Amino acid sequence: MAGSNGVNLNESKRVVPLNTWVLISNFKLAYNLLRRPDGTFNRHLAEFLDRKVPANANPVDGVFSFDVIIDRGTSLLSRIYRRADAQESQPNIVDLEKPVNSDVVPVIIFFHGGSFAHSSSNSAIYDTLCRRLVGLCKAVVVSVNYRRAPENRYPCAYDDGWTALKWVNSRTWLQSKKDSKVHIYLAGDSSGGNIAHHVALRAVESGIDVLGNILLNPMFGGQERTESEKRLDGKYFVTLQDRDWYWRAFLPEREDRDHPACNPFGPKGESLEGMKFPKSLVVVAGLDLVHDRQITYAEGLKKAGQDVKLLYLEQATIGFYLLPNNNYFHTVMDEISEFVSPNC
Amino acid sequence: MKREHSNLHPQQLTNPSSLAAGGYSFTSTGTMTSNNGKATTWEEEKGRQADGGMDELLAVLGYKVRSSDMAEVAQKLEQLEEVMGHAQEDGLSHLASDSVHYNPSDLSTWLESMLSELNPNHHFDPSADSLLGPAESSTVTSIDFTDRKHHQQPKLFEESSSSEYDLKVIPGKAVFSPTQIDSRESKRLKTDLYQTSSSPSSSSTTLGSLVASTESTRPVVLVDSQENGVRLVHLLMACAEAVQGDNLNLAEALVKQIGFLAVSQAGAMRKVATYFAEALARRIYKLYPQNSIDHSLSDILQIHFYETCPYLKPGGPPAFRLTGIGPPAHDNTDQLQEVGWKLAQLAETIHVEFEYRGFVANSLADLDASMLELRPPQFDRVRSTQPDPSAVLYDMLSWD
Repeated sequence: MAGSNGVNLNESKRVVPLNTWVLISNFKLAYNLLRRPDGTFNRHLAEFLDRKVPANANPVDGVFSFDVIIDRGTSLLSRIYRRADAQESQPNIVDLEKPVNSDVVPVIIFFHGGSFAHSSSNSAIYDTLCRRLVGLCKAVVVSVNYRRAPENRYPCAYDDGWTALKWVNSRTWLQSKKDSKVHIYLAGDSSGGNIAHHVALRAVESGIDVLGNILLNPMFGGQERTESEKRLDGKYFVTLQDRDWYWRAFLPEREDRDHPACNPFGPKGESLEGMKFPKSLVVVAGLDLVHDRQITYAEGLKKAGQDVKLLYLEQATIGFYLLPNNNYFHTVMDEISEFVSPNC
Repeated sequence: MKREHSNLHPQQLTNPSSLAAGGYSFTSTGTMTSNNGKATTWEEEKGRQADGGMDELLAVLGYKVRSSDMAEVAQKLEQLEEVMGHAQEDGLSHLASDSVHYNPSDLSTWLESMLSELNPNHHFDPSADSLLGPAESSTVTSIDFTDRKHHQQPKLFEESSSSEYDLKVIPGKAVFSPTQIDSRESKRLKTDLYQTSSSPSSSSTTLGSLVASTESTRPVVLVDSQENGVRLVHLLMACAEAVQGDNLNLAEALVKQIGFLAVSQAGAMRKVATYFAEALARRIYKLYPQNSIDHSLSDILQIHFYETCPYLKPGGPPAFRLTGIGPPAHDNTDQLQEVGWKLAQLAETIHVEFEYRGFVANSLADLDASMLELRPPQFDRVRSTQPDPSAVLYDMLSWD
């Protein structure tokens, strides 16, 4: 059945399991309702439609969570996920920030996706993903509830990420026993991946150690249309039109998509040569229409002499990491586990 | 502007024990027990099933879809996309702001409701399709509340979970009369406000948190007071349609909303809406008057109706001939002429065929019928009590 704009809807149905297709298509259609042509966003409807879950200090599958205020001035909240001790059934409030108990405990600062406008730390999809990361990496996960566009444009999201990084870095209870330092990784999907990159940049410039960056389908763009953008426009849940909308909503008002926030290695970008940038794991889905941009990003890191591993998943679409019902999911989880492993 | 406090009291969606029951499980080797091997296509995917045949994976993410319904839900998504594609670009945000949004977790029902919004031929029976029992489901009205307008005073509507359509209004500050307040409800509202606003923030921040905050599954929705008039019209239309389509459950739900909103209006809008609401309610609840109305009476009612509102007469308004009669003016003004001119201008703008003549006479006795050139058939109005000819006009044209 062909769609109204000539898109063959069956194509996307062929490459993902049905429940994944339902999940992502539903997001797509709901999001269409929220973006207004004049650049404003129906925030209240968005919050109503978003499926949220509360934090839960009672361990579920060995993981418990709680929300903290990181910065009162900007109402910056984060949700923290930790592994429960074997004997622990119900941590009380003093146990929430109990010092981590191992030689090395990775702390993953996670930035959820949503193209800078959608979702929250308490969105069910991201709560679920963060819980997985805890068990996978034996890590503490700090999911940052950064300010979103269009109400809060660049650089708010980056500022919030930076604030969270400083906060995490200064928590004594998060220090690994081995060296009394916090072992920090930055991770994010879509806009979260973009934020992770820019927060890492600030970390490098300020001397805070970040051990690694994990970017899942990171959101990058540029003024020119790349081949994948033209070829895949509208084919797998995402259109150039919506991408453009989100950049217009996030970037400063008179800027175009070659702004370095959007295109870090583009005409207005800077080289990272000589910088002690953290090693990066860049996961790219072959059916993501901006995959050219993501590959360019990875190449930009490589050209600047940085340690980068590009994981290209040919037939993966956006959101493949949200449901554990496909091979790419397992592949990526294994890679992340290895990347964050204390042995590396 | 800050982030809304959506984290402080987020909606309780999934029972934590259901996660433990097998939404996902994590072994130390990081392998999952399902779907080993290559990615399955949608034809092969059966989906794991938990209680009630719900797709487990989607349940963890907040969506309740039966595995057996997955293909049908997918079909609805395709239909909705097609229909949305046909709607104008602006029509989508209109749809967002004017629709009655059902529980988004119940994907099947939500999609049905969206389809019926966009496609008048699409029949929607919320009670039939809903997966959730009365205790969980709720009808929600979502109103567009752009950030630009946050200086206006919003009102709050709270849904009751006791029945699918039972709506209760929590009164806002200056809109509803105190007699309508249920004191228990207003206390709950206050409690919510205190719980959720923990820092000074813009009104939209506090309200945004209220949208997500609740101890139960009841979502709280915001209403922008200025858009109530438009909302009312939409509701009236929707209710009338529902009555016509014999969808009395929906009509009943809507007429209750109309009643509440009508009270929030002022003047003519309030009167008209209330009359319509009453008439619709009579149709819905089949409250017909004791003595059945006979044809001659309904004919007379019709005549009176079209007399009062000739604009609405089938075939358009009648031609209008006015004869203005007034005493001679003592100054140099010709008030009769002036009045005639003004009326002629007005008639032109509202496309009414208009003819005017002015007669100067000291008293009506000076006139005789032949001078007035009465032409049958027509409705004649002669008012002679007003000394000021322009008052004659106001008399003729006032609808109150």
